[in-house]
Amino acid sequence: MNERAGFARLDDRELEPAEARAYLDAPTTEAEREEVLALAAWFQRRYPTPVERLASASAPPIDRSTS
Amino acid sequence: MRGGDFDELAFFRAIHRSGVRALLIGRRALVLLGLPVLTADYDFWIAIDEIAAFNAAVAPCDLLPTVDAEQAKRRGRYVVENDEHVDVLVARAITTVDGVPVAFEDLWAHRRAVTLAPGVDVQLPAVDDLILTKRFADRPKDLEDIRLLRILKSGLRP
Repeated sequence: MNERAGFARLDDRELEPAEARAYLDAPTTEAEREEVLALAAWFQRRYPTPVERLASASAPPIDRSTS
Repeated sequence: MRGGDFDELAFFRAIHRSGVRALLIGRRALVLLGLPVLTADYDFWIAIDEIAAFNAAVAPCDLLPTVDAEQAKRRGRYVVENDEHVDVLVARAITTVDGVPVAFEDLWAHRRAVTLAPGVDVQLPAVDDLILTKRFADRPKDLEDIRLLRILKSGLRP
């Protein structure tokens, strides 16, 4: 099995409404907030222009045909 | 497949010059807002009557539609692709999984532009509107993106 394709399928599945609501309603911890904002700050320093950010964003292709 | 010669700036320039009302949504919008996420494709929501103009704009980038404009309108979405894959929403409005109607015209009215280069702007929905587009399907990655966007918004200066 193509591992990336397998993960892609997991990522593309739709959650049950209750499952999604629970995830979205879960409070954001201060640690999570600090981590995300620190990562965003690093990303914006590392790639200071929008063009650089876009160029950094391309994931390797996913072979969805492989099972 | 990502072609080695795909000119991303030319792609966005072509859309800008076409005058098509095209909102960049999906993960590349998050990237432009400053969030480090990866993606394999592009996602746009365009005005429903501007399909032909959008297709003509991206054709020089070797991107071709998978269905004709009438079919795209009926389906509410279509794809232009070749070495790159571009998902295009063309509905006037889409309802989120929890029943909130989201109209293209409303998002367009509240859009913000990001300048890639002189004469090359990309139009993004407002952060709250981008979050709504992430509720069109409750996939794990969409929910994760919503959490990232909420945190990013909380850290923005007013």
